[in-house]
Amino acid sequence: MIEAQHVTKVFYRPIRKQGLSGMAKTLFSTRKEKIVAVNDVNFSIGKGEIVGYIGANGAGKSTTIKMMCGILTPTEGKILIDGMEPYKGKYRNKVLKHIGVVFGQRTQLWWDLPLVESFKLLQSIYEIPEKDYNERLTNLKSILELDKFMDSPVRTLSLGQRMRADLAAAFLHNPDIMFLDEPTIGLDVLVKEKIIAAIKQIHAQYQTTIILTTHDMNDIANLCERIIIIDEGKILFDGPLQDVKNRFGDTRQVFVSAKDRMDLEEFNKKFAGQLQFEVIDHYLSITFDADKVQTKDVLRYVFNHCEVIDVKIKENSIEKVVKVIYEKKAY
Amino acid sequence: MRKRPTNRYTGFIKAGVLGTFVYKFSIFGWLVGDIVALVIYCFLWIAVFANSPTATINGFTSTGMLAYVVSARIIGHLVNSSSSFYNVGSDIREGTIANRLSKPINYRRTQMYSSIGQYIGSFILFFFPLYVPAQLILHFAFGVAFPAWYNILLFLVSSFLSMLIIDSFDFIIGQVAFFTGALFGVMLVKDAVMSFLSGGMIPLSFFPQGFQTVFKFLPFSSMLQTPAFIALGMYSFEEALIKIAWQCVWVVFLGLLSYATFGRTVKRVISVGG
Repeated sequence: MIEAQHVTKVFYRPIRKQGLSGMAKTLFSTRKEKIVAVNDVNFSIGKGEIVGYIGANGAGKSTTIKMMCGILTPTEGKILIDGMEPYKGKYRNKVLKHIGVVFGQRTQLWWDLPLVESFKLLQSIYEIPEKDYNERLTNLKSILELDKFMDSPVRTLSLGQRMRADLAAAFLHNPDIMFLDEPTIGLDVLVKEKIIAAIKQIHAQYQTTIILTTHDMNDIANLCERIIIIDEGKILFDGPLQDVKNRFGDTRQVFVSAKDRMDLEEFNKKFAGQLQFEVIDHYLSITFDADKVQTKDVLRYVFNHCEVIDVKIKENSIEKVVKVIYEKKAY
Repeated sequence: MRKRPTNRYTGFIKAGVLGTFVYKFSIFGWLVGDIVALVIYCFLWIAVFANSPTATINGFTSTGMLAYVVSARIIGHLVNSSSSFYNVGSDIREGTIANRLSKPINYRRTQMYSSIGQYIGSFILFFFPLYVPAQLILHFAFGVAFPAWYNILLFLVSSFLSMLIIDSFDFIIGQVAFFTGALFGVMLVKDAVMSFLSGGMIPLSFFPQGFQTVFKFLPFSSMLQTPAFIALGMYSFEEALIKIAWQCVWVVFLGLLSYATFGRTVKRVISVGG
C-alpha cells in the first residue's frame, strides 16, 4: 500500500551563465533558481496493482519514484509505504527490504563481475534464504531466459540481456513493491515484448505491486489498468486506462496503399462523414472512431473499390491521447 | 530472527577479490612497469650513495635504502588496492548511486568491504609473487636480513590498517572529484601527493624537521611508512605497537569522517537531480 499525501519536492539549482566569463561568475555567485519538480501530488496505490506513471521528460516521474524508494525526501507532505516513510532513517532499511527498483538507464548489476555473482551479492544484501534464492532464481532464469549468459561479466552483455538481468536482480528478493523506471528504453520490439510478457508473468505469480514509468504507450496498454499522468509536477489524470480511451474515443487508423484512386467523398458519405483522410508517405490514412465505425466495414469498402497493395492498421489511441494531454496541460 | 548486520556485507569481500582477479592482466602491466621503476630507483640510489662523502644518509645505509625503496614500492600497491575513490566518483557522476542507495544497506560500508576483498585479492595476485622474490634477492645479493616472524605478523596487521586508512581517505576525496568534475585529474594529483607524503618515494626522515613535525599530525605516514618500516624491522616491538595504535586512531577518525561527508554529499547530489 503506497500513499502520497500532498507531496511537493523543490530543488534549488545554481543559476549558470553561458560562456567562459559566465562560468567564472557562476563560481562566485550564490544565486539559485527554484525548481518545483513535484507539486502537491496525491495518490494511493493498493496491493497488487500495476500503475502506469507517465509524463513527458522532466515531468517529475523519476523524482516521485526516488522519493518512494527513500533516496529523496519530500520538501512537503509525506509518502507512506505500509504506513512508513521510506526516507526516514529509522524506517529506511525496513522499507527498502520490500522494494525493488529498476532504473532502465542505469544498471544495478556489478559491471566487472559475472552475472551470477551480482545475484549472489543481492542474496547477501537482502539476506535471502538459500532455498528461496534457488527457487526464485530458477524461476526468473526461465522466465527471462538468462541461462546463456549467467557466467558472462555484466559489461559484455547486450542491452537487452542486461535489462533482463536487471529485472531478475530486482525481483530476486520478491519485493512487495516494484518500481520500473523506463524498463524498455532503447530495446528492440522483440526484447520489449519479452520483457513485458515477463513482467506480466511475474506479477501474476507474485502479486507484486508495480509502478511503471515509460514513454512507450504500448507498454502501458499491455500492462496497466490504471494510469497516473503527471506534468510539470502536477497530476493531470489518475484513473482507469479505459476512461482515457473512452473520453478521447477509441480511434483507429487504417493505412491503405492502392493501385487506383478512390472517390473519397463517396467513401465518407457511405460512413456518414465519420472518416478523416490524410496522405502520409504514399499511404492513404483513414482515421475513425472505433465505437462508431467498424474497422471491418472500412476494410471491406476499400477492398471492393480498389486494387489494394498494402494495408496497415494502427490503434494508437493512448499515444495520441497522451500527446493531447501533454500539449493542453490538462485532462 | 535478526541476524548480525555484518552478514549482509560479507558478499562484498568476495566481490572485491573477484574484481581484482578480473583485472589480472592490467595487474601484470603494472608489474612490468613496477619492475622497471624499481631497477631505475635502485641505480639512482646506488649512484647517490657512491657520490656521498658519508656511508649513511639520514640514517640509511645504501643497502638499507635499497631495501626501503623496493619494499615501499611493493607495499604501496598492496595498501592502495582499494578502488573506493573511483567507485564513489563514477557512481555519483553516472547516477548509479541512485541504484546503490535504494538497497537496504550502507553504501560506505559496502565500499569498505569490497576494499577488504581487493586487499586480499591483490595480496595473493600481486604482493606475494613480487615481495617474496624481492626479499630473496635483497637477502642473497645485498645481505639484507629477513624480517623477524613477529614483524611479519605486525606487518600484516599494519598493512591492513593502512588499507583501511587509504580507503576512507580515497572515499572522501572521491566525493571532492564529483564537485570538481575532474575525476581523473584529481586522481593523478591525489596519487602523486599521497605517494610523496606517505614515504613512497623517499623515507619521511629526508624531509626538513619542520615538515616532519607537521606530518606527525597528518595521516600520510600511517598509510605507507609504518607498514614498510615494520616489514623492514626498523621499529622495535614497542615502537611498532605505538605506530599501529596511531594507525587505529586514523582508521577510526577517517572512517567516521567518510561516513559524515558522504551523508552530506548524498543530500547534495540528490537535490540537484540525477
